[in-house]
Order: sequence, then structure tokens, then C-alpha cells
Amino acid sequence: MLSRHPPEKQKWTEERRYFESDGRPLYGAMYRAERRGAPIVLFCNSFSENHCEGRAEAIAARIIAANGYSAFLYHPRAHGDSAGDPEDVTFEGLVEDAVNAATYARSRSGASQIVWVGVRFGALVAAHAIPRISDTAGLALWEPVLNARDYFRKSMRHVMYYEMSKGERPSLTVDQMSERLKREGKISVLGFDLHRNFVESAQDADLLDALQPWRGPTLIAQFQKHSRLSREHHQLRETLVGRGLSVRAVLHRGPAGADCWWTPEGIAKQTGDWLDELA
Amino acid sequence: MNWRETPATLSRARAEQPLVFKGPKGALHGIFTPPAPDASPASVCVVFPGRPRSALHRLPVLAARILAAEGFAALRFDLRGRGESAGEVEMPSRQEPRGEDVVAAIRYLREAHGQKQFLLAGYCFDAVTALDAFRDEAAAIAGIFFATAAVLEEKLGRPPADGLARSAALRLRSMVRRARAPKILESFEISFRALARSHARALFLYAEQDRLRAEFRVAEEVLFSKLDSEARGRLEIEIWRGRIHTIEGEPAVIERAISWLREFHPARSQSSARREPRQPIAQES
Repeated sequence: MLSRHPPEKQKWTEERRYFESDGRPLYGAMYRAERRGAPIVLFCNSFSENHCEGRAEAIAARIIAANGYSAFLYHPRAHGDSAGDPEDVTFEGLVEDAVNAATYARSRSGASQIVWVGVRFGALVAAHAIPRISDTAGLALWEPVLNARDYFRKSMRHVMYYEMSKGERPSLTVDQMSERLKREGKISVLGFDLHRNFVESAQDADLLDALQPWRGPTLIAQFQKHSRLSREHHQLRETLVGRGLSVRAVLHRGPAGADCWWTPEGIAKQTGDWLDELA
Repeated sequence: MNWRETPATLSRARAEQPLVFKGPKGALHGIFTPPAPDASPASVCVVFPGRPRSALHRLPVLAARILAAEGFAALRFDLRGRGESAGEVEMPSRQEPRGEDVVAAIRYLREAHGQKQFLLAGYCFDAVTALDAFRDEAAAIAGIFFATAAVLEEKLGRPPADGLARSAALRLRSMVRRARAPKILESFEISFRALARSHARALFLYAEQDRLRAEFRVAEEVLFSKLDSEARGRLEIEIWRGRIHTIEGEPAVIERAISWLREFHPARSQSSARREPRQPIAQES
């Protein structure tokens, strides 16, 4: 379906359709702008809990489209409105979906170049998809997950924090959760399930390793309340700069008292400015 | 329950139609799942309002496809300010359910998809929001699944140690202190009365150890007790052991929603619907 929106800066339209990836329908939303020769901005969503809402990407995609850049976001297999079972998801499957999303988005938009926006775990996925797609013009990393193994352990630790916040003693340690995952094939981690298949397939994924061949312009967006770049993001920037990359780091703190993921307008504008500079 | 995708639910996923319709505060986005063409038609559309529409564990997505494979139409959509829908992001307020959004969905489905009868299903705030639609569209709603939502103007103090005793103690304390007694939300009361006047069935689901159970006990005493026998027969209450207003509790609630909604299928009704509640400690109707 297609709907036309009143232009803020430039005309753009929204189109939502399912597209095929590995024999299953995936949900995709295209925000089509009319700037000639502009790259398409492809939001590579995160995994599970960070993917649940998807609102930040939806708002940002509209703002970016109003700046003249077509944008595309999609739900990977077993996420959101797409088909698939969480038990069967592997890291390679998510990368395959990203590659198929890029191919589809390019064909629907007519754009030849892609700028990836990797959101949280999606940064790892995008970094692995880039070598398999030609003509990537840029990479934006929104609060990127740097290492899958650490991410999984942090997710488990959050369960403990949650239980403690309710005045309860943590029911399991991280090590015990890891053992249960190995033994039973699945554990619940605050609103989503971690499956052994997925963890085993993804645990060696590392952002800096995956970006070894990458030489394009890169944006690091930190979604935190801190007033300076975190140690991890600082190291990420320094390493990429050391490889000769052009890197910009921006802080997205959002308005006081508001979760910065709920108020992505500022970072969407900064991402748009960065796109303008790439052009 | 086995939530795994089947050929039938995958077929429904392939048939799904993203849609956008006008809400009171801007465009609302959702996914319409048409009934399987080879299934006996249920002739009713299930509406899941969501924050966002896929929710945790994607349960409304899976529920919509399961029911559509059995002949129901289904819509899941983002309430205003959530997911892809327009509107400001706001914390859900018990004083401000979003029934107008559900009414907009019903009217859109009627006009654009020819749907005439609707079933509503909601968990927590989404349940109050679904019930709120009875103000304007009661005649079109055949049933509502209402799980573990707030019904009082303000939260009650502490979780119930012992249901009835605690409720009584609360009221006694209020009297002694001359404090205001717990008051039913006006929005809930108006919608509930509209439900009672309608011909719709309802299932109210709570669990004994949830804090919200104490709130609902007040509604039972103030509202349910005054229903006539006809209305009381239509409005079921199910109280489960333990807790359901938790992340872990939600799958069992949606499973119950599916089993209850199935009772509205004409084929199921004719062959005396099976009821499979999860060990309720009280089931009243």
C-alpha cells in the first residue's frame, strides 16, 4: 500500500510490503524520497528485545526521507511481523535477511548505493552483510553491540538486575543461565527468549573483526545519557580511525527525563546531516 | 502450547496486508490477516490493539495467524504513539485508555474490509483500551477478552497477601481514616456499563497474586454484583493461581485468549465449545 505525506522538506511516500528471504515473507517499510542519485538508507534492526518496538527507526526513517533520502526498514525472520520461528534463527540467517533486504530495497527504490544504519545488535549483522553487497556508501552504528558474547552475558545480567529491582534474590547467576541454555536449549531473558542455536551461531561475532575490510565513512551514535563517549565507543572510534577511516561520533542523549530511544528526532537529524556531507 | 509456525500459519503470514487508517491523532498502522480461504468462515474479525502490535514474544502476531488459519479475520495494530503509528510517545495512563483508536480500527475494517462483527482482545492497558471501544461500537462487538488491567483511579497500596481479607482490610482502613474509598475509573465504569447493556460476551482474567487482582475485586463488588442475571451470564470471570501480570505470564494469557476466542467460531459453537482454562481457582459467570 502506498500513502503520500505532506512534505516537510521534500516529497516522500510510504510503502509497506512483504518481501521474500530464504523462502519466507519478511515485513518491510519503504520511505521513498525523490532526490536523484541519493543512496538508500537501510535500517538493520537489532535482535529481539531491542527490535521489539522499532519506533526509533520508524521515526528516523521519516525524518531522513523528508531530507530527500529513501529509507527502508524491515523485520528479520522470527521478528515483528515477519515469518519464522525463533528456535530456528541463526546469525547467518539474520545476515542473509539483511542482504536480501538490501537487494529488495535497492530494486524498489532505484537507488544504487546503500548507507547502512546498524541498530544495536543490527550493527553486527550489518557489518557482516556489507562485504556481501556491492556499493555500500556509508555505515552508521547506533549504539552498536561490539561483541555478541558480551551482549548475551549482559542480557542475562539484566535478568538478575530486574529480579533485584523487585526486591527478590536473583534466581540464577549468569553462569547458571548459560548452563541452562546449553542444557535446555532456551532461556527467557526479559521478554524474549535466547535460543541455543542462535547463541552458538553468533557468539564469535565481533564488530571490529567484521569491519576489517571496511574503509568507508562511518558514524558512531551513542544512545546514552553520558556527556562524553563511553570507553567502548571511544576505543571503537580510535581503532577505526587508526585503520584510516573517516569516523564521526555523536552523542544522542535525548531530552531530560526521556528515554533516548523514544526520542530519536535529534539523532535522525544528525544522521541526515552526515548523509548530506557524504553527498 | 506449541507456538511454532505451521504451514497453515505461514500461509496466513503470506496473505497478510499492511494497512494504515486514520486515527483521532493521526495515522495508525496495522496488519490485517485474512481468514484462510479453505477454513470454515468465522465471520468475525479479532482486533488486537498493541503497544506495539507485535508486543513481547510476538504473541499477537502468532495469535492472529493461528486464528486466521481457523477462519477468523484478524487485525493487530499500533496504538497511537507506539510502533509505526503517529502520535506522541506517552506512558500509558489508566485514566486515558485509547478506545478511540480501537473504534477507528473497527470503522476502517467495516468500510474497507467489509467486516461486520468484532472480537477484541487486550492484556493490561490494551485491555482497558479495548473495553473503552464499547462506548461507541458496542453493537458491533461480539466479545472481549480482558486480561489483568487496572480498573481503579489509583493503585492500591500493596500486593494482596490474602485476597478477600486484604480487600476488606483496605476498605476498613479507608473508613477509619476517613480516606477516600477505592474508586472505579470513570472510563472503565462507563465502558463496562456499555458492555453490560450490549449482547457481547466477555472474559475477565486475573491472577490471585497480582496486585491488580485487588483492584478487580472492587469492580466485582461495585459493578458485577449489580448486573442482572442475563448480563452476569455473559460476563465471565476467571481467577488463576499465581501471577499473570508478568513477562513470563503473558504467553499463558494469550493462549487462553485464543482458546476463548475460538468459542465464537460457528463450527465450534455448534459442537459445544471446549473450555480449557489453566486451572482457575475461581470461575464465575
